[in-house]
This record gives sequence, structure tokens and C-alpha cells, in this order.
Amino acid sequence: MPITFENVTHIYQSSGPLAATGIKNVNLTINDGDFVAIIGQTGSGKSTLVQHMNALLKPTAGVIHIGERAITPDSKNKHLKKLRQKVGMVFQFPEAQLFEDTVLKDICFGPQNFGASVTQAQATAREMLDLVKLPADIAEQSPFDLSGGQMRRVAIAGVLAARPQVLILDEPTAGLDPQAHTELMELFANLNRQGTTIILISHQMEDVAQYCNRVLIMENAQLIRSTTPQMLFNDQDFIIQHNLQVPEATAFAQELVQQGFQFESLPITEPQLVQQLRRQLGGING
Amino acid sequence: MDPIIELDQVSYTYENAAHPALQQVSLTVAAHQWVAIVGLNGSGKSTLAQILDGLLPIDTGTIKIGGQPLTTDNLWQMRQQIGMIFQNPDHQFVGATVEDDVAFGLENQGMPRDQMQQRVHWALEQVKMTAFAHKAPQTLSGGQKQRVAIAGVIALQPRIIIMDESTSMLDPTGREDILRIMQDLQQQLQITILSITHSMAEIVQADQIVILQAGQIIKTGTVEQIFSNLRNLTELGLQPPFTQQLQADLRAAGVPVTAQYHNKSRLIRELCQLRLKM
Repeated sequence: MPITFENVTHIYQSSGPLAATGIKNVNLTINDGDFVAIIGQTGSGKSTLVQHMNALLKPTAGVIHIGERAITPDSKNKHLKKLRQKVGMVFQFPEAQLFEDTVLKDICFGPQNFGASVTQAQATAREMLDLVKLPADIAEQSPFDLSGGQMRRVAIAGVLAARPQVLILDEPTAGLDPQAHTELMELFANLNRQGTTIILISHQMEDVAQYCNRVLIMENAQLIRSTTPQMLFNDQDFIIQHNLQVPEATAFAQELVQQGFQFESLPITEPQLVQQLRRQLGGING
Repeated sequence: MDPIIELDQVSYTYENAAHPALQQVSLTVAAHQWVAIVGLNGSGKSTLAQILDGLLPIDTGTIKIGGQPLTTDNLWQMRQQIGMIFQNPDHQFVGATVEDDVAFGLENQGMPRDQMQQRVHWALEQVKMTAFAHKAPQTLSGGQKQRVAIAGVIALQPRIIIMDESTSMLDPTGREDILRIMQDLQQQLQITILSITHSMAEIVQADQIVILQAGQIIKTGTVEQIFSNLRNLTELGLQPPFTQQLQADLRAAGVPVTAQYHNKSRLIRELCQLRLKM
């Protein structure tokens, strides 16, 4: 289910004195199977952008194609359920949205809302618990007795239970320990390998470099560039000009360049850096 | 240096919980240190912060702050020595303007108005937020909000500041900004900082690292001591720092770098020497 933006603008409270531009004149295409990162400073329009991808927000101008559906400023708020089943959204700190008295019921809420029977929904919910690596016996516990990391997984399982074709993640690992972080990112990478399109808002350039095939850069409500992580992190002038960060491997390689090393293309992940240094300094199979 | 915090065999179990959140925790922190408290989600880090501030009553053991045992009688007095900065600055705003918010703690202490105004001004200056004194906290960015929260804490001139994942909701620029401010303040005001964090960038600049696992302190040490052995780090809630991971992987790939702990500039120097020998 590809997503296309054509000249999309969103102005908050457009008729009032407090009008504020959320996004301005955005054109983009997200293809099936993409793992796209959206980066940019706080307040640059990242969240506003993704909220258009499942019609939580409608554009003030322009048109968004989500699969077969076209969303325009005049679109009615009807018949959006099907769309929202296909495009799942995990907000920042999603554990704040847990509300049921057991984990199982909480995960079942989505599938039941989308028309599944109780039995079907429970079977799906148990499958999702396994998918997000939570123990099966957690199902009957209250979600509020779990640790922060576990609550996060329950919330994500709830979104995955609708089996979305596109999954939007707004800083899904903020505040998690490194192990939980890696496990969640691997879960998303696995879903992506199985065909789910992933759209990730992130401040962590290591993740952008390691997992994403494309990166969109937002600045002052505008999409200023759409490129690959490799191209982005090799464009030092652009990085500095727009106050962006590079992965540690790239920063390390840049320091080596200042000391006389040469790289054809700057590495963006640690394994790439190791490989290139092995070639230059001689190692096993060097 | 004299210890400012001493925990001896401290245990705490939440109501109805099957396992203690903290079990026989003993810890000594020298004054003016930056201590990083690390561990997996649920290992007891935040509980530790809360018992230090007397927000949770301990079951057994003793806590001393500045050599004085913490009791229910002196709790309020002891608490004045400790400031806390939490993860989400939105959760701790009370004032309608930045200035009012910073003044809140001082008003509670009954400080005379003139002195209070001076102190608020001073605190905002420390975090470079003087220009925002009359703004509503809600209109600020995440990093700016966290700076106001810090001003509110330092206005009370505590000897200890506990940061509970205070930078985890900020973007990278905001995070660096807050860390730099806290480092400056620590130097200038001679504060002791306990920081609960998952951020490797922050952990590697701490004086002491304390690792919690399932409610127990399983290791304490300097950055060099903790990261000289990279095995089992993820189970402890840590990541190998980039430099050490790179060094280990280069060795595994047959690049002849030494095994000894290196910081970034030392590793770069060694790689340059290797290159010249090629």
C-alpha cells in the first residue's frame, strides 16, 4: 500500500489568530516494503507529517493517496476504520494508552474494534504476545503491574494485532534500556522483511543507519530532503548546515580522515567501519 | 573525600510485590562526584532514587546524607539537600510563568521576597533562560523546559541532584545541552550528581558507575574498570561504548590493535601508527 503526498500543507487552527503551519508543501512517496526514517529537530513537523498517513489529520491543502484512498481537505471522517486497520500508529510513550484490566483484553481491543470475534481476537492477542517476546503467562495480569519496558511491548502488540500493512512508529524506544531497544528494533526489522512498510520517527542516527533504506529530513515544517542514509551521512556540509548528527562510525571515520585516512564512502555502521579498516590496515582476509 | 551519601544494607519491597525492589543495597558516594546509575528497566534504579529522597520509606538498613542518618523526623530538612529532575519536565511545572515556576520551591521555604527574586534570577542565569522569565512553560521546547526544571532545583541550592532519565525525552541537541549545563553546574557549585540513565554518551563521562540488577548492586567502578571487559554488558543494561566495541571487533578481524582499554583519541592514534607501518 504505497503512500503519496502531493503538495500537502497542514495549518493548525487555520481560521483563527493562532494559525500555525504544521507542514508546508510536502511531496513524497513511500513504497511498499520501505523502512523509512523521518528525522529533524523537535517541532520540525515530523509528528504532523505522519498523522496524515492514517488520516488522523486531514490536509489543509493538497492530497494524500494511501493505497486506493485519497484524502483531501474535503474528505469526510467516515469509513476510515479500514484505512486505520491497514496503517497502524504507535505514538510516543504508547504505554500511556493502556486501559484494560488485563494484558489480553488490552491487546484484543483493536482486533475486536475492527470486527474480529472474541475468540479470534484472543488467538491473535496471544500470537502478538509471543511476537513481542512477552511471556504467555502475562496475559491475565494487569498491564499496570508490568515494568515500563513490558508495558511498551503490550501497547505495541495492541497495534500489531490489527495486522497493519504500514506501521508508523514515533520514537518507539525512547527511555528503554539498550537490550529492550535492540529487541524492539529487531522486531520491526523482522516485520519489514515479511513485507510490512515501516515509518520510523527517530533521533537515533545509529538506527537510521542500521535499519532504514530511506530517510526524510524535516525542517521548519518542510521536507527538505529525501535520500538514503549512506548519501545523507556522507554529505557533511548538509549535516552541519542543518544541525543534524551522524552515526558514531561516521564521526569516527571523519576523525580518521583528518589524520590522513581515505574512505571511498564514509562508513555509516560499525561493521562497515571495521571492514574498511581491515582492508586498509590488513587483517584476516585483508 | 568525605562521603556525602552512605547506604548500608538497604532493602525495600513494594506492597504486594513478590520480590524486593531493592535488596541489601550498600553504596558510598564521595562528595562532588558524578555517579551514573545503570541497569535494565525494572532493576530498581528509580526506587533507589526515591528512597534517597525519602519518598519511599525503607524496610531495613540505614541511609546517611552528609553523615547524618535519614529519619522520619529529619526527612523534610534532609530533603532540602537533594534536588530531583525527572524524565518528563511537563510533569513538574506548577507556575504560570517560568519565573513563578522557579520561585515555587523558594516560596515554600518562606524566603523573603527580595532574596527570592535575586535567587530566581541567579538560577535562570545559570541555565541561560533569563530571556524566558516571563514566558509560559508550555510554550518552551523540551530542552528549554528541562532547563527551567533544573533552575527550579538549583534555586534551592541542594548539595545533591538526582537526575532520573532527565535527558531521555530530548532530541540530541537538547540532550547535549542539558548535560553540558549540568557538568558546568557540578563544577561551579560543587554538587554531587546521581544520574539514572541509559545514555552511553553520559555514562562514559561519569566518575563512578553503579550497576543494578534485580534490586541489587552487582558492580561499581570507574568507566575504565567497567568497560575493560565487554562480555555480559547487555544483560546488565549497558552497551559496550563505541570505541571499545570497535577495538574488539578490529582485533577479531585481525587488525593488530592492542587489547588494553583505549579512549577514542588513543585508538585513533594507534590506528594512525598502524597505517604508517603499512
